[in-house]
Amino acid sequence: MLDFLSRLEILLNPTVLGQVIVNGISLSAIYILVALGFTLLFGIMRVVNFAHGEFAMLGAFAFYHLTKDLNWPWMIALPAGVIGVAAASLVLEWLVFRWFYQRMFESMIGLLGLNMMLIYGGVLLWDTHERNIPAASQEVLMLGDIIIPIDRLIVVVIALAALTAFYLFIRHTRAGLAMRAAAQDVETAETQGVDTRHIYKVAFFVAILLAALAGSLWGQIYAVSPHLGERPLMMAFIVVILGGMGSIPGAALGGALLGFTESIVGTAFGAAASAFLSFGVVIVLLVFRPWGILGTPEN
Amino acid sequence: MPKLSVEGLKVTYGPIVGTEGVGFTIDEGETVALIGSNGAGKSSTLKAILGMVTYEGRVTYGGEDLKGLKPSKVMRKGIGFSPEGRRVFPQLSVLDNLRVGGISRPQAELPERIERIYGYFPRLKERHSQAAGSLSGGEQQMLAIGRALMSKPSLIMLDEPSLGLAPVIVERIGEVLTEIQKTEGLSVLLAEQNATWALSLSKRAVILDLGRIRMTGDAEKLLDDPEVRRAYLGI
Ligand SMILES: Nc1ncnc2c1ncn2[C@@H]1O[C@H](COP(=O)(O)OP(=O)(O)O)[C@@H](O)[C@H]1O
Ligand SMILES: [Mg+2]
Repeated sequence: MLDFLSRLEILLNPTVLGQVIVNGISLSAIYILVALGFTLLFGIMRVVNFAHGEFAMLGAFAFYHLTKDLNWPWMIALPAGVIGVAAASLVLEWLVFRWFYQRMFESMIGLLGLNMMLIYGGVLLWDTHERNIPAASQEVLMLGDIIIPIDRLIVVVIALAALTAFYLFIRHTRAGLAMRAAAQDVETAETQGVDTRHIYKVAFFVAILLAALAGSLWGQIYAVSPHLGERPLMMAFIVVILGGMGSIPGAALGGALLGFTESIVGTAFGAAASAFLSFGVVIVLLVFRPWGILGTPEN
Repeated sequence: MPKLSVEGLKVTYGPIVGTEGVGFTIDEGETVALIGSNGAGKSSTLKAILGMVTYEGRVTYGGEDLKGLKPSKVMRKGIGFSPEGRRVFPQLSVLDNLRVGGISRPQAELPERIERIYGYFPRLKERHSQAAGSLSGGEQQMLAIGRALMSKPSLIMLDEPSLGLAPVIVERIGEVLTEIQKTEGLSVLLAEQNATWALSLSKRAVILDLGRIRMTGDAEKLLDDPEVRRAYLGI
């Protein structure tokens, strides 16, 4: 008990607290980016994209090669890599994904297979050793006793900007409206003028864009390897179960919950404790509220 | 030349026949009722015209063959659709539901179009920011019709708009439909089980039974026909 309290007390140290907050925000934002795309694909096309994390991995490698091999400044390499991965992925949409639209169970198996292919394709291409993306900045920001590394701050700002852009896109554009309608009733949306085949492609592109961005930011914080996608996928899965499959506000809430839980519990009690707790909550939720915190029950 | 022409329409679902040998035409500005009890083949006919199901036979609109076009293309030819069971987007607001209906039109046109629909159905204006799923059945039907009108169609197809609604509401919807049809110069294809109501709104009618045409003719004459009265009007 005393040990438990003293571990919690660590969190009151201003330096640690600053880190916990910055970590919490950046983890939350990255999880939300991955989860939003995952939930978008499920909400509109009813595919469970078990390969989603691999698009994060591809985004990270694109960013790595553009900055390290081509020496592009990160401000250009990041958007170029992310858009490049999303555009190239449209080939996979045509070859693989479109066959699984509106076929939830088949999609799980098929895309789990694709997940494995992409991981081991990555291993063949890049082997398994970890690489580092050069930090965007070495400087730190001092706020009283709190120390914030600038490159972490950059990650947070970019992720929050992307989330805002996504929100505006979904709320205030025609394509966003078409997606919201298709997510509720694809058949009716088509009869009212929504070209659903086209909207599927747009939704896929946006979902992969967000995943590739999340992967690039993740690679900037941690390291880049063909296995990079596993953790973001797992986290997206938890986030989406927490928030409710197909629910966009749910993904935002779930991501924030998970990111801060991981940051707080992880700092005080270690990564194992935070993973134990997160998955425990998922199981409890699946038993008592399988549609998630903000989702709606399927009939 | 008729606006819509359907010839030898056959829709099947595996071994099940939805409709067979169905044919009729609709002239510009005309209302035609498609009458039949549950399972008669009304929805199958409407879905075929819109390209939601594959079919044998021929459907032309304004002289153009519609076969092989998907619904989002067919509706762009000028066919509005209010589906059976209303199918409003429950979590979208009333306003967003209307916007989806207008998604095929230039953006600049929408505000005027929306105001026009609010003019037909003032209730929708009062509830414009409310989630469509929280509306009453009658209001949802008004929204489904309003949504179908957003694309400025020249033909509107309504699949059982009276289903599950109180008689006063059905009467009210009938009045507004007549008004809309006059001001917009619309052709209407009205699929209904409520034969008395549908016949009172239309000029001609097609009566379906077990997927086939049982009778066609002037609505007024059918209303007086003893067989129709016995079988469909419960008199
Ligand atoms: N999706 C479907 N699958 C199998 N049978 C169907 C389907 N839709 C309609 N049917 C069958 O086709 C026939 C006509 O149905 P429908 O066109 O829905 O009639 P109505 O709209 O007049 O009630 C019925 O026997 C119905 O059971
Ligand atoms: Mg029907």
